[in-house]
Amino acid sequence: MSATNTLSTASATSVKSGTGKPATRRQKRDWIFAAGFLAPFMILLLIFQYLPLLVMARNSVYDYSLLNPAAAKFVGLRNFTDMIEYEDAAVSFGVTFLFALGVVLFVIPVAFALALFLNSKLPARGLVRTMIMLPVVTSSVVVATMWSFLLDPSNGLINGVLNIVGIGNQPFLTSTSQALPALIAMTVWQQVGFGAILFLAGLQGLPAELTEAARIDGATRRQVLWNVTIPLLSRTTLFVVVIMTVFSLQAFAPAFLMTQGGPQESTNLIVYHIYNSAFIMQQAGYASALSVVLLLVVLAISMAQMALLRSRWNY
Amino acid sequence: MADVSLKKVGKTYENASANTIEELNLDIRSGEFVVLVGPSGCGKSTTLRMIAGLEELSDGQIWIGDRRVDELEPRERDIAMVFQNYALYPHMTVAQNMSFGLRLSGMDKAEIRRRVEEAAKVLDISALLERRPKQLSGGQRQRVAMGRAMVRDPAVFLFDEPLSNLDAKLRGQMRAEIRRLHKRLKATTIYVTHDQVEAMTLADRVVVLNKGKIEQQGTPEELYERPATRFVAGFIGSPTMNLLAADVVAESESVSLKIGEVSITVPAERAGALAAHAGSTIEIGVRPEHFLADGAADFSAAVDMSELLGPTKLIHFTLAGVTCSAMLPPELAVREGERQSLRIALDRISIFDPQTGNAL
Repeated sequence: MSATNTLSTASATSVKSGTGKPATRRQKRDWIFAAGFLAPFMILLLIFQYLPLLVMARNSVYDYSLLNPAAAKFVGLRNFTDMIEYEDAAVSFGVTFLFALGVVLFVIPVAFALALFLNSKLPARGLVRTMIMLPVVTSSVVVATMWSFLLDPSNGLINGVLNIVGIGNQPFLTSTSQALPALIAMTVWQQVGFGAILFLAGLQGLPAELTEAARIDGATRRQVLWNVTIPLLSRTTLFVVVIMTVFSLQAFAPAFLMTQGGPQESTNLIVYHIYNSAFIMQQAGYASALSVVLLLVVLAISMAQMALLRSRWNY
Repeated sequence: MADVSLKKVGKTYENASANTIEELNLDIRSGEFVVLVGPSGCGKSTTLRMIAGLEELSDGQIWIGDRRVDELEPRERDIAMVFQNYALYPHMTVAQNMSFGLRLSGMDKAEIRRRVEEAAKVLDISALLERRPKQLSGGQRQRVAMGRAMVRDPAVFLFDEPLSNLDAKLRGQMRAEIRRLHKRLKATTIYVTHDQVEAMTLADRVVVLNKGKIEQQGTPEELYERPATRFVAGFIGSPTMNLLAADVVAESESVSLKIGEVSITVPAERAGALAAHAGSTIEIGVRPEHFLADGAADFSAAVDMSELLGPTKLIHFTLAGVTCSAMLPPELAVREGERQSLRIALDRISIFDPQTGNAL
């Protein structure tokens, strides 16, 4: 017994010492075992994720077309300076950030409200849970196609409903002012279930004694929510904000299938713009440079999340 | 301060085969310190949570003072509760934790500060007011939880196993502190624990619960000296009471108890009561300290194990097939395997009906 304790202490010390190298035969065996499990995934990750990323980073300093890669020409940082010089990148990033902001601003309160409902003892919770998860598990292509029908300016269901309440037909996807809000509405509808499930997990992880103590301390249900539940869910909220932001920055299907980035680039989301630059405009180098910037933005958001998630308190 | 009254209180859970609590009647006087004690699942925490308003009643009524409260929200009951896991708000400082309830009530800021500082001084946590719960030890957290309850000056204090998460030494210190605070505040206090030592040392009155029913209630001395049932006899006291089957034999001028092969003549002052059970088998309860090694032996037993506990020596032996323990003076020279002569202090034993388990 004491020998086992000594062994495990020694092993913990050697791991803690931070050399990273397995010290004992047992640790070496464990390391090989772990590497064996990790290898298939790591190899796939390397081939299909990191190598393409490296190729993309290399391509970003070349001017070349996918139709004739052999004619690629080294241009240094010109693709990046072009991004500043021409407006298209700024417009596309602007539209994308606006899209992300809209999605996050609506998803957070709606998902939180749904999570509170799912966490209550009210009836029909199971039905609501299924209903809000259905769009999450449905393919984005299916969702985008369905919403294209719903938002059709002349025969769409939504205009039909608006007509019933006395509002005339709206152009929706063909209007520069309505197309982006329409895409935001569709994405909120699709993602809110995922946000609600994340909030629900956060709510169920809160110790019940804290809300009970607040109720005994004299708090009404609303005061418990405002003073205890919401502050304690700040980590979950931050996580949902980051996840939704990253999802929104990577959105492609709505712009591709519903608006083709229009009208007048009002829905030209950055991933669609990258696709357009690479495959339609045949500017693969420029598209790679845009991708590098997008990667850095997503990376910065993720790192900010990791820094902020190191909370000052826990329970 | 207020009286608390539970009238025919019952609690049934949907999926439970039996009632968790059945027709519980309990009257607690203003300023009294009552401890609800019992094994896990006996319903003591459920009872406390029903008084707090955190659980709904299935039957009965709860009164605090002259108000029926069982249909009121917890905030309307004028109670404060200290939880087992402290339940301190992790995002607030100690001062914010303590003043939370007062702030919600809209109390004047100066008065809030005065109350918080006063409670902190009493609990010796004045230096911790700006810290967060994460930065406190278990004992300090428990003091803050008590402070949060104190500042509100409630009619009733509820404690739900508040010392369970502390180590033995700190538990002893906090026990004394809670007792001292109660003497100072003279507040009606209902305290739940499964630890009978806490119950015996803190309570004005102990209520022993078993399977959702009150087995016995009384002062710690009453419960220890005169347990009403075999369950109470076994639950109160550490080490537990030794329970032995004994045949009551009445002879011409004396009464004796036959415990296995051992026959003990009952002294005249106790013989009268036992004579009524002559010819039947009863169960006697002997506290470990009521086995005496003072020379006048009733029997001799082989010592299975001997433990020196400091102020006493605990020996374990087998009598009539039952493993018994006796608490003897520490200087007694007795080793495992040796035989020890013992006498039972028959004037101190408890007697139970072996069928019902009730005291005779």
